[in-house]
Amino acid sequence: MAGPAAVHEVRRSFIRRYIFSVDHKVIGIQYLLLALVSVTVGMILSVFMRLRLAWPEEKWPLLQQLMPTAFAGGPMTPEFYLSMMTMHGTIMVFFVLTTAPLSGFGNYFLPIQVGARDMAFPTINMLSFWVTFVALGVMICALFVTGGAPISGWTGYAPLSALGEIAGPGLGLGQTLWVISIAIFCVASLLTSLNFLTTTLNLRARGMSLTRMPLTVWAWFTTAILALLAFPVLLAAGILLILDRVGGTSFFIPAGLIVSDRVIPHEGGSPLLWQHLFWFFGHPEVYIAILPGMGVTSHILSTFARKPVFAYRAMVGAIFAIGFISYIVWGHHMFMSGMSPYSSMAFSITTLAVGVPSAIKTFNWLATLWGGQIRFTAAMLFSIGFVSLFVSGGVTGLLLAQPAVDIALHDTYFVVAHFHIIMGVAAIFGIFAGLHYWFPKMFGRMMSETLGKVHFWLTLLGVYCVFMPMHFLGLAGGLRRYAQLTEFEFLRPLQPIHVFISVAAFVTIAAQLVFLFNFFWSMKRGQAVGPNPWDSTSLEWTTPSPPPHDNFGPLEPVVYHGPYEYGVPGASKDYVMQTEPEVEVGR
Amino acid sequence: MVARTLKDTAGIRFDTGGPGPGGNGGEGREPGKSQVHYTGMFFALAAIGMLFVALTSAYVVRQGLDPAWKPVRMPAILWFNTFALITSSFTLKKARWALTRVRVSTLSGGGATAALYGWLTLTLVLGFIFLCGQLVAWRRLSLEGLYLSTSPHSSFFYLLSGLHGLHLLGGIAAILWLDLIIWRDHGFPIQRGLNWLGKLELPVLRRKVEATALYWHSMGALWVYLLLLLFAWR
Ligand code: HEM
Ligand SMILES: [Cu+2]
Repeated sequence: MAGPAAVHEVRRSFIRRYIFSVDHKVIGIQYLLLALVSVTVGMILSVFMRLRLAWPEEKWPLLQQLMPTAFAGGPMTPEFYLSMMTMHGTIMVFFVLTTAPLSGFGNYFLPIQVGARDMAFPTINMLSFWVTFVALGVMICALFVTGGAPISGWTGYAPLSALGEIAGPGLGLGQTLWVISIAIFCVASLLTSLNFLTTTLNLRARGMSLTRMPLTVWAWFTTAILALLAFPVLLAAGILLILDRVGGTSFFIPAGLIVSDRVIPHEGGSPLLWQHLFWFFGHPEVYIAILPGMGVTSHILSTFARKPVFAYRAMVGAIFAIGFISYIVWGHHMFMSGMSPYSSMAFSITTLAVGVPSAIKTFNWLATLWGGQIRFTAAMLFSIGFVSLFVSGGVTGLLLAQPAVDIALHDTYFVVAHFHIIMGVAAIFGIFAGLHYWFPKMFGRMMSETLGKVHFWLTLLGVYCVFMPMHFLGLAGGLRRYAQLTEFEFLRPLQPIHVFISVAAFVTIAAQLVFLFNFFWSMKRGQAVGPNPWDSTSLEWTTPSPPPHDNFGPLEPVVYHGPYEYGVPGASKDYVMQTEPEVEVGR
Repeated sequence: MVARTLKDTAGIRFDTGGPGPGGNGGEGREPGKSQVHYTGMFFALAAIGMLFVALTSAYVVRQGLDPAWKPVRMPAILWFNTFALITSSFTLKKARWALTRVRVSTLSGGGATAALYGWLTLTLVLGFIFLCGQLVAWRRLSLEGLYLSTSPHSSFFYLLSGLHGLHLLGGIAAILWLDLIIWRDHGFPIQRGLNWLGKLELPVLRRKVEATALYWHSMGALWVYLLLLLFAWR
């Protein structure tokens, strides 16, 4: 058997090993670093927004010197605020919430957890990362071109996004770059999902039956299906938008539109068509962001409660149900678009139906924790935090799913609160949980548990302080996508809430420094660990930390057990690795 | 409850795993037997299908909204192009039959091999003719004053045929690559210049040809569908 051993010791140049690497583990880390850069940029943009919202009249002399156009005439211009909002949303949704949980962790751990030596198509895998990288570069360019970044929001609603320069600053070159970046990103995501699906179906180790796959794998697999079918629709919408912008077509631009006293020479297009295409992608997209977090949560709760996941099969079924339903609910983003009440009702019912599998998952998580011998590690805390946020954010979703309620709340901070808690923060907690759990595997060293716990508590309290009050703002009629709310008599009394939120946001952002320090410091100085520091059962914990190039060395892994055999009565230790052939069943 | 979980899973034999050596699981590591090309191609086609489904829905919506919808007249050369593309699916089928008869012993220059690269080359030529024909169709329309932005129907015609052409170009690239490798490995004079193309064992070649054929036939079917959508759907 010369083959595998030979693979084991391939020596490659630095560039082939760390830059244009085809190793799924390197690519996974590249994706995680890309997400880290993106989340930093996105967070800085949110600081600008919070400054404007809390202190609308302030002039900020220092910033004014750095960015004269953004502060032309004293306070930050509303256009600049809107461009920050657009780029914040876009960067966070695409380059953080899609790349880190799916492409980052999925790339690193899906192949190992199913017992493969790499993805099915390593070269395509490398390509997908570099295409994402280019997309990010193009997106960042939009911040710096003349006219600035687009102001049409991460949803890029037409016709605003389709008209070009005439419709406002940032809608010229900035918006064009935005669409191009999104289109490139779609292609990259398709390549990634292709690899995930094929690897899961074809490259599983001997004995790794479908029902022995960890729930993380099920989550990545389902997410990849969602991405495979959703991103082409966004790509189609993007192509049509590009043609409307540069090709003179009228897919989205209606007839007789007058902008800046000029009649726009397009006719017959439908702005609603954009909304339908966008949200047909957009709703599955939010589950693309959250499903991997659910998988990670199940995995970690079971590991640190030292108990099998409660109702494994129901969990798998719930993942699939959520994935399926996510394709038939997109209309709940469009209740205000004048759709017929019958369609509204249909979309309302399908949306409420998502509550069922979501509740199944939540109760199963609680049942997993019930009576367990819980080890409160940082990873465990973040996973429990995930459950908490998932419930807080999900409940408001059920309110918004009712057209009569949503018509009042659609354009308010209530929605901002909803999607930040569930999509933004819950998914981020999933990422933090995964990082704490897998860090020893990826870098061979532990992250500091103490710093991790400090970071957890600061962040948990912080995000609740930031996003809970937004519900009240929304209920009181506080409008979203507005740079300034003090101009409305009825909103003026709410201004102190905005100030509170901004301060809380700055504290929360500062708390992330604890994480950054912990992350980079532990890479160098953390306590070195063996293969399985958490007493976990899945395949990645049978390999050295970090795993070698071909993951398993000369031996082929063979799987004998399900992924969650913790607290096994009568066994010599309280867990059974998936690869352990002999089990002592004390009976 | 805990005990039951263990018993349940311990009761499952390990041969219920994924496809692999000695039964189920992990056979993907033997390149010759791997299913990955076919599976990957299947999913790629699902994604491409979704792209055109989305564009179809845009087409239907746009048409339904427009009281003054005026379709462009179908350029006659499209009949010819379609014929060329359908024929290319048959020549590719022929190539695959030839491939089943190729044995390792006849690697260099056997009759089956000659048939293989003959049919593949013919497929390539037909695909190329199709693309040139599409360009001619575009030229015809633009001579009539029908451009991308002239009417919604002309927009969709250029867009859909253009996207299809791009996808077919990918298929042409794949077949060209396979064809060149077969030429080289089966003793054609250009042998030495083509080393950069990489090596391909016969079993892997088989899998790649299968996957490529799946793609090619799908692109043919897609074109027929687009033709019906653009010129038969009302
Ligand atoms: C430091 C924490 C954060 C703060 C202070 C913050 C603040 C904001 C603010 C003020 C808005 C604009 C509301 C409006 O005027 O309509 C916004 C929008 C948005 N944010 Fe965040 N955000 C944070 C984290 C995140 C994260 C982690 C994500 C997701 C990855 C995210 C995704 C979005 C999205 C998608 C929008 C919507 C943009 C739109 O509707 O056009 N945010 N955020
Ligand atoms: Cu939604």
